[in-house]
Amino acid sequence: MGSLLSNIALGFQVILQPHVFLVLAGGVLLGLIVGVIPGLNDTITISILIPITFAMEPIVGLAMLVGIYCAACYGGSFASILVGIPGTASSVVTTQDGYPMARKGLAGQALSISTASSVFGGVFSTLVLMFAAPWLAEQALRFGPAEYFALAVFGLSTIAGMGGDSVLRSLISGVLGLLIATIGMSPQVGYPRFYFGNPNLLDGIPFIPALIGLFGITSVMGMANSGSNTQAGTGKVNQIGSFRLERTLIRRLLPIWIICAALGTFIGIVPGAGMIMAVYLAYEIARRRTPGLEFGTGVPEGVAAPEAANNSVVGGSMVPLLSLGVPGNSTSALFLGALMIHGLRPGPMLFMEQPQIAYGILAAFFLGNILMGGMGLLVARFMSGLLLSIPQPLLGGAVVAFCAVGAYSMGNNIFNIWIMLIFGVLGFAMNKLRLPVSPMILAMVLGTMAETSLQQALVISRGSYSIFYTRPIALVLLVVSAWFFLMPIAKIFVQRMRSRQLQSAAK
Amino acid sequence: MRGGSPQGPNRGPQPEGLYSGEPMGQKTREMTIGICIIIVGVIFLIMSGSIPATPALFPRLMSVVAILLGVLQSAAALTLPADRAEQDQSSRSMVVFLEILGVIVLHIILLSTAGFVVANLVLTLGLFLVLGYRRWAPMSVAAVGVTMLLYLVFRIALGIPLPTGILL
Repeated sequence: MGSLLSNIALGFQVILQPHVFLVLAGGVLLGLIVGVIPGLNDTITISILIPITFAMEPIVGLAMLVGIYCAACYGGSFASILVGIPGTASSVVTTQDGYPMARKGLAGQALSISTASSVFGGVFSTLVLMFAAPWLAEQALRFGPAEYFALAVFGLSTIAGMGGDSVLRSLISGVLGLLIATIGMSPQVGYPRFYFGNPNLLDGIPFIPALIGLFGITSVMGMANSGSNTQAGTGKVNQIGSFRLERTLIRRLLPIWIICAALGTFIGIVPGAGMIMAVYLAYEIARRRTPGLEFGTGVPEGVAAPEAANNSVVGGSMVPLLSLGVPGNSTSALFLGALMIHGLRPGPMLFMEQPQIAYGILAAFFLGNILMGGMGLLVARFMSGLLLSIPQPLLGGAVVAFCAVGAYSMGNNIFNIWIMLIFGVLGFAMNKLRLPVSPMILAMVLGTMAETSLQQALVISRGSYSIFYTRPIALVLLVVSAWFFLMPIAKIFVQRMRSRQLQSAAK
Repeated sequence: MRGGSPQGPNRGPQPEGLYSGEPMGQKTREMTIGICIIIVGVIFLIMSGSIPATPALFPRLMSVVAILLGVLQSAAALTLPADRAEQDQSSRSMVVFLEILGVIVLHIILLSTAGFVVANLVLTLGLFLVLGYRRWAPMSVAAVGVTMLLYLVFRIALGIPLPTGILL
């Protein structure tokens, strides 16, 4: 415990250096800005900016990305409240009560509630992250290849639940990612596979350019369809009103904050669940808890619940990544990419060998959430009108230009722009076919991890598969994976049976 | 109750992963998914035929899984009711997407011939037009601004050698 606290202190020391702190604040500001602008979000921005962080000192670049990740979903609520258009997908639910509040002249209060809830959720989940991640990492020190294989399988098993209603779609997206992961040299023997005679592919598909294509290029499509400048001024709120939060209101919202922050943190930690699920569940819980209130007409609880939940997913989602090296959602997969370009691997060794980075990231999350609250209201008050009036086509053009240069700069190779383009096409096609992209991204990461550790484990056990069921941790992880994998499938069958029963009962 | 359903008064953009079925073109879409993943699986299976056993094990396994999932998906698609006539909307976004691709390909070609500055100006202006913007003054300012910003950040601040052609 003592060493944990001193390590956390070290993390704060690292982040409180003036240049790191400034960059963190810059990241928070950027996160707020991209959050406000519909069409841009944290994933897109982080994928575009990872190439820039490559040239920075690792912790400086990571602090910037942490700032963006913290602040983006909070910034998204400004657009939800002020114009009734969610700035990010995670603030869709906030629109339901935030916008009606603003229409009643309570925009200021709604923004303050969003701020307080977001900071509460963010700080809550950061505290969990701060103590859970180092502990989990310590447990993971005992892991060998067999356990890492089981861990990768566990990560993959959560894919089944990722696509919401359609398990099959998620699995298809996942297997596509696993196949993509096999491109390049094979682990252990280093035999070149599926590289189409192109030496650029020997190291596998370049991850960052692929993500830039999947997120950046695909996002521009939305900006074409929305036409130029449609949203600004349409549903604008004239009266902002007071920003004050009365103590009675705070006392009223406190239980909701605690419940929703705990829920969001938990959903964040479980790989594959995601922010969207957290905000809908939080809203639902708040509604059931306060039956006397008419949700959807502008009740404070309707803003507080989703806003506390989405910011707490952020901290939670970093737990499996930092401690085990297993990303739980697409944004934490991006952090994995950002660490890897500096030659850093998240997991137990990061906490042992590079404590200033591991604990620095934890401290950055904490300070980022605090900064976010202070800067947020300023952005909401003075910048959101301006940001919402930027014509979408201009934004789209700038995004693609950033994407192209960013992809190129990963190794100064024009080939990477082609990769970006190909994955942009893939992302567009998947979007059209309504295939979720996140399972594929997780599988691209976990596929390599699974294959490498499988081969290593089999070398250790001289080819015997018994290594996976004689080692307790590996066995438990594999059993839990089977449960995670089968549960959504079983649920579908139960639902089908039920609906059949209902149908026959109706007849 | 998984994640609730996006049926509130404000739906906003369809969030990723919260797919809810809509009747239009559903059968075609589901069938396309099934067939595509079967094709991908078969391609990887065939290509892994020329690879020695150990490195081929994982890809072979995965391509078999892909084919199985594809068959399941197609079978599920067959049980769906036939589509009603497709609406025109999707072809419009397809055209825009192809135009975006065209501009990016042009950008890649220009990068290695005319250099970054020209290529980026063409890229940004082209995209503004493709995405439906027509006011020249803000457009030119934005194109020059973005190009200058990128040059400053990547070339000057980060020291990345951007491709040079005839200009810069």
